[in-house]
Amino acid sequence: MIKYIKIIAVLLSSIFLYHSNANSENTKQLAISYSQLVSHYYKETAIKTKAMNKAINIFLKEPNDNNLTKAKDAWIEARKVYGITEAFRFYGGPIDGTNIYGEEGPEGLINSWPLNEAYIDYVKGNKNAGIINNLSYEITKSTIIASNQSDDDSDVSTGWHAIEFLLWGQDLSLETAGLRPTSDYISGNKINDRRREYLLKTSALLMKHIDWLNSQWAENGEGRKAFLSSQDPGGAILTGIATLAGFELSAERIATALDSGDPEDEHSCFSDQTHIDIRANFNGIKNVYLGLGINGENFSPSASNLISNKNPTLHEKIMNTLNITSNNINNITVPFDKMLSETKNSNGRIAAENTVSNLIVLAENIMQAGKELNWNVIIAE
Amino acid sequence: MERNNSGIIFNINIASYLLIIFFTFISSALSEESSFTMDKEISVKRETREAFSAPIPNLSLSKMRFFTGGRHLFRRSWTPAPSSVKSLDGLGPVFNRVSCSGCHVKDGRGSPPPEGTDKFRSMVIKLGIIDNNALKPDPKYGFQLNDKSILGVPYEGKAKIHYDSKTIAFKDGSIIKLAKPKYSFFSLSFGKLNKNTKFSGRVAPAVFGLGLIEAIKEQDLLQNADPEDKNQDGISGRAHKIIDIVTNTEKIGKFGWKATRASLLHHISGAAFQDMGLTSSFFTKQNCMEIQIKCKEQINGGTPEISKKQMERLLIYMQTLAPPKQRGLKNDAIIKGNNLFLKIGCSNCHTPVYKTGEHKGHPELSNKIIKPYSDFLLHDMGPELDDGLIEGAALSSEWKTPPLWGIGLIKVVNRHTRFLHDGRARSIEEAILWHGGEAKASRNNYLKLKQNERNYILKFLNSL
Repeated sequence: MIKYIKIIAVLLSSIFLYHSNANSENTKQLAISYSQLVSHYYKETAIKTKAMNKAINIFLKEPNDNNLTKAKDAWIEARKVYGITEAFRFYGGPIDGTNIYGEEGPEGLINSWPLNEAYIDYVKGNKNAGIINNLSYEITKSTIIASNQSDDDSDVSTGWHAIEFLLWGQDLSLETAGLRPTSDYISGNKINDRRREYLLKTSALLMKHIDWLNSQWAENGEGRKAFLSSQDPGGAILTGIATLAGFELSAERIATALDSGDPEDEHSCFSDQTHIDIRANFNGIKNVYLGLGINGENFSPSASNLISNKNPTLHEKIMNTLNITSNNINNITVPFDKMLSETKNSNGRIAAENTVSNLIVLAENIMQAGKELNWNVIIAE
Repeated sequence: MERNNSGIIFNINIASYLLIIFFTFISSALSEESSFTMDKEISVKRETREAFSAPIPNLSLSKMRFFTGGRHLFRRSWTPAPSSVKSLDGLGPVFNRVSCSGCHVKDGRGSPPPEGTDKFRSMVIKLGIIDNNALKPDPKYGFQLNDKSILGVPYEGKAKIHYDSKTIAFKDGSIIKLAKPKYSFFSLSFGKLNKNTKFSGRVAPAVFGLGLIEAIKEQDLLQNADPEDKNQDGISGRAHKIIDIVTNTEKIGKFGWKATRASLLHHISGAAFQDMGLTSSFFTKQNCMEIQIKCKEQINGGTPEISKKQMERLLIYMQTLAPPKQRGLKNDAIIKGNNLFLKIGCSNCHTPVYKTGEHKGHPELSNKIIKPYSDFLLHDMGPELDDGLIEGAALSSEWKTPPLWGIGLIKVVNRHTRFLHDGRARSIEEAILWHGGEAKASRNNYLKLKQNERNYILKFLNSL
């Protein structure tokens, strides 16, 4: 009897050992290829952000309409890539975790939203609002950082949306984006000079924070090392994309705006580029899953490789949901704020609602994939 | 044959090795269970500024949009009526802040203004006259000083705080200085406060874990209550029984510094009304006293100003924000601190563990192990913390034991370490030393500890 139990134990343990080894070896390879993919996207974001910073500097040197447009275009281009990198959030990595030195990731200084524009500059109804008009406020990088969400979560002083507001201004119409005049940046008067300084500093800060992320994930970067030696990298990878799909993009950014119906509740409300944000976030989810680079480069193995080996039906389900969601996003009418103002049964709103539902299905599928691979996937933890 | 044998022996070795791992795992799981860590479905591991802002991990995905919708309302600024955004107008006419997150920054804890300034950003001053054991409003300023107002309406008045220094000595000879607040009022728009008006400073509490507190069974609270101090340990502790206006039944108050409210819905409606001037189904009239004519003349932002639908979302947000997990469970100093915390009597009121009962709105919150470190009962905290203001059946010296979960993350989330109801304590240690009345014995025990032992306790508290 004891002999049989021993044999069974031996058999079970060898099966267990074989499987866990194979599984952990695959996961290890995935963690490496994922790190390369993350590095690839942050590098690209750093290049594009540097280009934006350069365009802003040129604009401030020669403030004319043409240079303002170029600065705005550079912001849009940089943001297209940054949106993809949001798939690397939500698991305590370099972007939004705390490292071994107790330093907190820069997410709150890069992409805080919603933003109370009157905290930074003049708004309709209050021409003296904000830090720029407060002459006793010394505009430096450190004061700007200290002011970020210091008294209220909406008091955002820096990051993408602060720069967006500084370039576009308030969006007061459903037909166009914000129409800040170039003359706001002609030097010579005190307030304009402060605005110029503010734009210069926030742009430099954003570049600095993106550069930091880029170095964290570079080949011997601290962040990459920490990730590769973490206990459950597979769980982290899927938690990032599941949370982006099932929480941040679907609920926080689309559904909440649909429910409030307030045109100002779109994510990039000054530039009317919310549709680009949604697409970029979606691309982040898809590219992480499939291990795809910005020009279709392959980073393998990818999460999809491991999942399709384990459960091909689930993989097909995920691919199918990705395709449907992609179509839904295409059908959201532009600009987003105008869509929000439409009736519930408008085509744009229906497409946006479908996007939300399918992103939730996608998140559920990804959580299921985590279960199959024995990875811990928790949304929004 | 030889080879086979050695192969089996080799594998048996692995098997026994696995068995050892298996038993180690089981025993460590058991010891973790005996120390009752919070259930992982309802607590989160974050140590960033976002530590208090996550939904409970088991919140169903279909509820996420209500959670984020609530968060949106929590963060958005309200504007005076009429305004282009109809859903968010109705601020004031008099108020303290324009958004919930203005006081509860990052869902965390408020602090007093810098000494001698009127910059009350996350703290309010409650007012009232005690008449026949009941609290009546100050005839000109009501139950709370609103230091801001919409255009064309006078604000009620301003206040500032100065501190007197007070020295306390530990048994080992080292000393510490405490700061006792002194309030003064100025720029009062309608003249002086009534001569009998009492006042009480209150910082904004952190707002996570509230749904779980709501789900704690009343019988579990009553089990700890000992209003006549029958066990003669010097700690009475009584439940604050109130009539809950949401259910119209008698319940135990769990929310507020004096446990004045049992339903979270009632509690947040009260905050929106008192702090932001927003009417809702429980607070239907504008927040203007008789003498404040301009205040009364203003048009409202709808009846009520916060719609039922908006309030539902805010409620879901408040109910499902997750408490943070404890850190460093295996750290030696923290374990020692935990033992000392129990030994010197802190846990007599700061009850560590509960298993929640059924939560009607959210089954996600039901039957979960939680560690709030509070008995949610009223205790006499001694003359030093007695500011003369009563609330309901809570005497002016009585305060509800505040939960301690997340206390070590306040410095990360809110970048300060101000504690107690009025934020007078500038560190966790100062907060301990302000304990008097029923907590005096524990405070004295703390004073007798050696420096390294005190540090263990503080390390433990900072791990919560």
